[in-house]
Amino acid sequence: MSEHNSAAILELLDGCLQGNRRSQELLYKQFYGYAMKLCMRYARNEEEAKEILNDGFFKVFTKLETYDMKRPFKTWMGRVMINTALDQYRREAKHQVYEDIRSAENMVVDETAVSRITHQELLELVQQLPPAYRTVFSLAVLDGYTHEEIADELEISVGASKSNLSRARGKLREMLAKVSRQEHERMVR
Amino acid sequence: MKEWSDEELDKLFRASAEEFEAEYQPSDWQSLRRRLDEADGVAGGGWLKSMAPWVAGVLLLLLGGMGVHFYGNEAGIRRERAIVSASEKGGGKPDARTARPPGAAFSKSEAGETDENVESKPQSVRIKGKKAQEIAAAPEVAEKKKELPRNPVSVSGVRKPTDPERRSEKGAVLLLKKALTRVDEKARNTESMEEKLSELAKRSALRERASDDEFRSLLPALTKLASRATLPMRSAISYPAVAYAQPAVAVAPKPEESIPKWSVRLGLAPDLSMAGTSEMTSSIKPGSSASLLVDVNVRKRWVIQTGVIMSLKNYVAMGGEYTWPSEWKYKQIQRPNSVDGSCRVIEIPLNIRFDIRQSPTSRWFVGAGVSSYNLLKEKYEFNYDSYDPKTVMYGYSYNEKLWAILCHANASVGYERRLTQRLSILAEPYVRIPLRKLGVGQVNLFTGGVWFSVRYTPVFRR
Repeated sequence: MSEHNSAAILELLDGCLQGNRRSQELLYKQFYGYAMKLCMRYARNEEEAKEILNDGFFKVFTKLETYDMKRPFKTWMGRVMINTALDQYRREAKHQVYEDIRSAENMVVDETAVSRITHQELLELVQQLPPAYRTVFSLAVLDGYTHEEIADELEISVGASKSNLSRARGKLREMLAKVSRQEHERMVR
Repeated sequence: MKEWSDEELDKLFRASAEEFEAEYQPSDWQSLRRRLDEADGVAGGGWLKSMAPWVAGVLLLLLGGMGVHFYGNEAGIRRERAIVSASEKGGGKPDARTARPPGAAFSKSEAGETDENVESKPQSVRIKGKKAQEIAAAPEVAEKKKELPRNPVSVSGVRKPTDPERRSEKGAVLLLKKALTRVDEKARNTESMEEKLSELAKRSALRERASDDEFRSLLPALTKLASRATLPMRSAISYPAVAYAQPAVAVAPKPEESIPKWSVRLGLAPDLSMAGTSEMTSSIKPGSSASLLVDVNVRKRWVIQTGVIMSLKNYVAMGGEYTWPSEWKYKQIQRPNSVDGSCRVIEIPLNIRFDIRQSPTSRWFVGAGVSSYNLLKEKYEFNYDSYDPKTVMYGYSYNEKLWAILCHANASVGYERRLTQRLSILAEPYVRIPLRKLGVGQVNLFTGGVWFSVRYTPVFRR
């Protein structure tokens, strides 16, 4: 038995390998939250995240024979989800128009106001980033990819990866400042 | 109130991403399940589709093999039947070309029926004589021959081209008449018989059909002939004389040495361009090139080469390798850390090639020259290490189709392998070294790659 996977997971994986729908459903249910958490970082909204999620699980079920049972299933599945999100990004990148960042007048953020912003709302700020910035930010900051790995995955230069990350942070600061101002105004009232 | 550092910002969003919890939606599973069910159905079809060509191939092979097997057997059986039929019905010696049976029949025909052999093997003659006697004694046998299948080879359902005369219902009679025309002069020693035989020979030649009455009138002569038929068939058959004139021995002209005055070549190559030698410049994806070049032979080993090369060049220039255009000087203070550039180029090379080693099938060569570029479209993306809200230039494209005359020096080494007299293939690693800066950004663009080309060489003679 693998040291990374519980007996229950291995049993489900065995059922999935045999194409058992019940096993697939249970595995899907088991990892739905984790997979959705990953997909939300790369999608512009929840609907797109669900689309990536199901695309990813479809790959998991149809290519399960390529998975090495000695390794943690969760890590492998997470990698499949991120790759699926990157595939989606590459497809859409062909149709994207150039998006520039408008400079913000005031980038000062109220910490108290920010503390009242929910995790959901913060994640929505990431989703509002232009796709190129969002993807680089999620890969670099949230999933720990290096710039070399990002450049390789997205077929861009390392400089472009760094630049996009820098722009993504700038854009997030702008949005955060705006949200915190709104929150502050709401508190004052 | 504070301005967030990169680390603080990353920590905030990392925490929010980790804390996010999504609630399970059964409808999402139902959606995936439908897709999986469809895929399973398609997967079966896909398997069948992918296997279909193989299945079809195997079936064709099986059918072909069976056809060959059965047809071969049937043809063999038909040949044997034809031989037996011919020998039984007085056809005499079977035609060795079409009815050579295996085994005994083959050895019989190969035995060579000379005069001496006749004495030791009088079987065929005896059969012929016996049959002739039967014909003479029983005219109804001749009538029976009319009832032979009009086209025996089509009986089993497969038609084969046959002698048109054999298709006649009087085929046996005609065959007999033909045989009679070939009988030696010694066998035709009576005047009346000679006259009739010559007449029949004429008619046979004219492909006329003898009537039954004529056949009956011939019967006494045939009987007489058959009773005297002690001559071997081989000697009874007259072969047409073949006139063959020995051709005068002509001395073949020595082929003149071919001199390829010019040739054309089509090539493809990856385009590996870079504006510097730093590690970052190698992280961009390669471009591509296509060429149509003309080689003109000026001397035995010397070739002048020119033509058109279309290229897409992708490269990375570090901040110092890219010249910030002067007209943008006051647009922003921040300068890019690096620039991702791409440009479409029409290149006109002018090279000299020298063949350092030649053989009839291959050659090694080196080349050098200069190139002029026409920059069709330049595109730049600017990358900055830090975010400055006052920065406005993130990208730029330029479509002025500027010419850069003699901007690059070329060097290459190559190997050519001849496939036919006119076609050959080449592999030619090359470099383009900048002689002057290029484009709006004034970058020194180095390019390398390997040409994979096909050359067509027309053949000229002196």
